[in-house]
Amino acid sequence: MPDVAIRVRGLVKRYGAVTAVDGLDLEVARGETLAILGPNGAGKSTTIECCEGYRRPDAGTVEVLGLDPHRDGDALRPRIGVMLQEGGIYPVAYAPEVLHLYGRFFADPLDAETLLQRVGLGDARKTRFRDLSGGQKQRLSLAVALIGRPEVVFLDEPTAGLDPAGRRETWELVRELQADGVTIVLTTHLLDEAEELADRVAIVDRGTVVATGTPDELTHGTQSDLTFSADAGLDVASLAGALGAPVAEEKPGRYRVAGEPTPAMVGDLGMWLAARDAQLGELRAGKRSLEDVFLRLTSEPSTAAETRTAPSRRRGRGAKRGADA
Amino acid sequence: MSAPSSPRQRVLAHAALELKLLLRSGESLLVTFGVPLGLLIFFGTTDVLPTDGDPLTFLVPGVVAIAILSTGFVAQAIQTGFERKYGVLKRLGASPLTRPQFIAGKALSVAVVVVAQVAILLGTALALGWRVSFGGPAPSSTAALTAGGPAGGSLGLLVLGVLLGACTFTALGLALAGALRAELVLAGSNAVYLAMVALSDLVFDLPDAMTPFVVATPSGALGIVLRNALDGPTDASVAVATLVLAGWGLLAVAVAARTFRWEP
Repeated sequence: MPDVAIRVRGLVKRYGAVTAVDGLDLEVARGETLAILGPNGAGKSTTIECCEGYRRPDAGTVEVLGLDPHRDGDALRPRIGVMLQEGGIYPVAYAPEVLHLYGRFFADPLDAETLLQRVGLGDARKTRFRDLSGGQKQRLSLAVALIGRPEVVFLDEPTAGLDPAGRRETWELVRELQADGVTIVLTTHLLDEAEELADRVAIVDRGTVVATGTPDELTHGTQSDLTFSADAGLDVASLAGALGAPVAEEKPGRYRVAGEPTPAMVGDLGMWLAARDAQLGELRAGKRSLEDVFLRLTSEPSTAAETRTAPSRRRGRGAKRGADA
Repeated sequence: MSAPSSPRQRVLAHAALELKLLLRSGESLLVTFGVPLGLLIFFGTTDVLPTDGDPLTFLVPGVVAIAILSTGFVAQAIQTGFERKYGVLKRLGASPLTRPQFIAGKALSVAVVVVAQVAILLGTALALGWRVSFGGPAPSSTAALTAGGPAGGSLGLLVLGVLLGACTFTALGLALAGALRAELVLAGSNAVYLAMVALSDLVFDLPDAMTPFVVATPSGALGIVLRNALDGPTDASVAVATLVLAGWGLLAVAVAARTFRWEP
């Protein structure tokens, strides 16, 4: 038990006829940072809220620090920090008041003033919560989650609505927590956030974990291939013959070669295109980005994909990792 | 390993912020202090109320009842309704502040405001020439209640009425705040407030034929208890009024326990 901070087994949670979480298993080690990734409605928030004690599971078990969040809530709550998507802070209160309130719930809280400085709200102490910027609200909400020196922190989309600078500041705070040995569970839509912060990533879709591993594990392995964009309607059979690997035109002008992208293969591709005077747009070889893995896992099977709001086919900016042409 | 502070410290911290936020809101101050005090001063210094004798004798129990109604019902309903809307209640639910402690904190902040209101209203009334004498047997005993209250008022009955009234109206306010959308709570609580003030013999001396109806409303019942406490026996039985008031309180608690939603 001392090594496992969170253990979720066979979690099922239904809202009326909708099954939000459907037999989900998850384990988080002490001191580990787990990012839960998934499309909207995949069950990320419901899973987190079962761990926080807000929801009672319909089936399965949830243990946080060896406690049942629902039954042992009074014992668990002093040991966890929670950041909600909604914020959950008095609109007319000032940041120091809110921090002092939550600080006084704990026997040995962090110093509110120091924390206020640390999250960059030192200059905003005379501003009511409702008048803070989106980023400042998020950072105050994070500070409230941290003031009680929690052993486990749940962050539900901690950087939603933040600009790139604000995101980096939040990431810095999360890294400081990691250095202190705090266990962190965060949900996010942002794949680069997961890659930056997480020791392990769990990809959740339709209420279950469809893949889990370190960002490297998820992007490595058998999943190397080569993708490129060029004129639409190229003769993929001919190209497959030239490259010695299957080729598919996934969308007009977007091709995927399912084979180890050796320099020789890249060379062959270049020659094949040159022979046909085809324009090469983007070329990417090597391991897939987490985004590729995510999109692949959460958009199959295609029958269900149509009805969901998954970010299913936005891969124009996919060339973050691997060798770009 | 992180540990919570003492339950007392948690309740006090919560009550202190509740109080601060209540006093920071202009609308809350207006409804809790401004309206009752305004009514007292206006009707106490003019002679527009068609009452026999000193208008203050009639008015003081009524404005104290209105003050309790404002703080317990209107202000709490609105404040709590918006706390729910903005997820404040949800967020507190994940903190070491337990739900009983949360309610204790609210009760404490209401108690502080009500004590201040009663002190200000009675002080102002005395300054305007109001006279009261608390004679009769020691308060708190139910004997005093069943006897219809000692003539000339009873301090014990005043304390009982203020306490019971504050509890009942706070419970009614929370029942409303936990069930409806914040915007509906805002509109609804003010509408109910006006109706309760108008239809309960607090400021307007209603015809005797309406007495049974007045006794049955929480505000009317509170008015009767306070009238007995500050003035003397009324036509309606103070025992019945006390039971009605307590009954409304229990009903509100039962409804709130079933319907209160902590999340937005």
